[in-house]
Amino acid sequence: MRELLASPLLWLFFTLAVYEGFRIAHERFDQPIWLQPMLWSLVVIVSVLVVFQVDYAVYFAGTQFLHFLLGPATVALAVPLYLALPHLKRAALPLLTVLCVGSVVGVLSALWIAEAFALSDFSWRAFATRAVTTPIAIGVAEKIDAPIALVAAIVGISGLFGAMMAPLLLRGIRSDIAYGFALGLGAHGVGTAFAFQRSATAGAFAALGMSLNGLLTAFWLPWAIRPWL
Amino acid sequence: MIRFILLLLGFQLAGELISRGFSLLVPGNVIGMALLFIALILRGHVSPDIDSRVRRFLKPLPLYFVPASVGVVTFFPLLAAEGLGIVLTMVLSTAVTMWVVAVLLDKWLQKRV
Repeated sequence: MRELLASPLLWLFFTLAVYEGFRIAHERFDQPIWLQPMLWSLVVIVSVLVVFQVDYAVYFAGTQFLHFLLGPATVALAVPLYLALPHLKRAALPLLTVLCVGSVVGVLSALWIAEAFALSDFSWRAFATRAVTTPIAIGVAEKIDAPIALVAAIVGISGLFGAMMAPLLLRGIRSDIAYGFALGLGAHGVGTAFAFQRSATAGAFAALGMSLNGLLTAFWLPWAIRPWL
Repeated sequence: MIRFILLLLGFQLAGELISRGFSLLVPGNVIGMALLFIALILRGHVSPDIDSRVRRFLKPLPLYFVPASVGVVTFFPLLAAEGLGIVLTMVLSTAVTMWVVAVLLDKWLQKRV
């Protein structure tokens, strides 16, 4: 029994089963924004580890295979980005300009607000990549010594907040391009899924905003933040 | 299937080699993504086979974040102390970023039409 608890078999099976359960529920109930399979899996798995007093190192060793997939998954993001290029050409100058502004605002707003709430240095670092999609955020976190668990949780949960706030916050936005681009750039994956509910155009520009922002931010943030680490 | 895996791992490996070899601060997987993106632009098209495999591979992307995110279990003391500040920072900075991007782009696009 003890060996089973430490084997990848158990934790991999459990993680996939929990995730798949929430994914099916998410589909069944018409994809409500609050029923994000990843976030609810997180809640369930963390609870199980706490109740059964399982060491996180044991759990992580068991599910390392899934974690490894983040690398090739990041590389694979180049394909949807390439296929979205014709969209970019529809308004290249405004999109690229606003992308640069958004990339900087995404980082600085998180760092300034974290500082205003006097968060510890530890949390502050984790906020540097808040606006970047998780696979890229984790890669950047490793380069700037930010706690990757906190980074992954912050990115995921703020994506959810972003999608929930969008109807109110972006109610005056008339263009689907602007609406989608903002959701993807600021609220990454969850925001992109939410943008698709408004229109295919909004969704396509959300996906574009998400990948472009991740790519651009990964190139300037790690060295720009250096002096403050 | 194996060629698809080799393609992704090959670009990732090249990215890691560049990132580590030149001690760059850009993560290797992101360099791999940039290299593949450039390769696709040079090639001018994506084969339907690669496209459909990528779609299937990326569909459960949030699942791949689970092992890392579960690590918050080791941060409970931090969350107890700073949880409220962390939540407020998430909400406010997400709102600011989305609002700035949406308003700037909306204004600019309206003016063009």
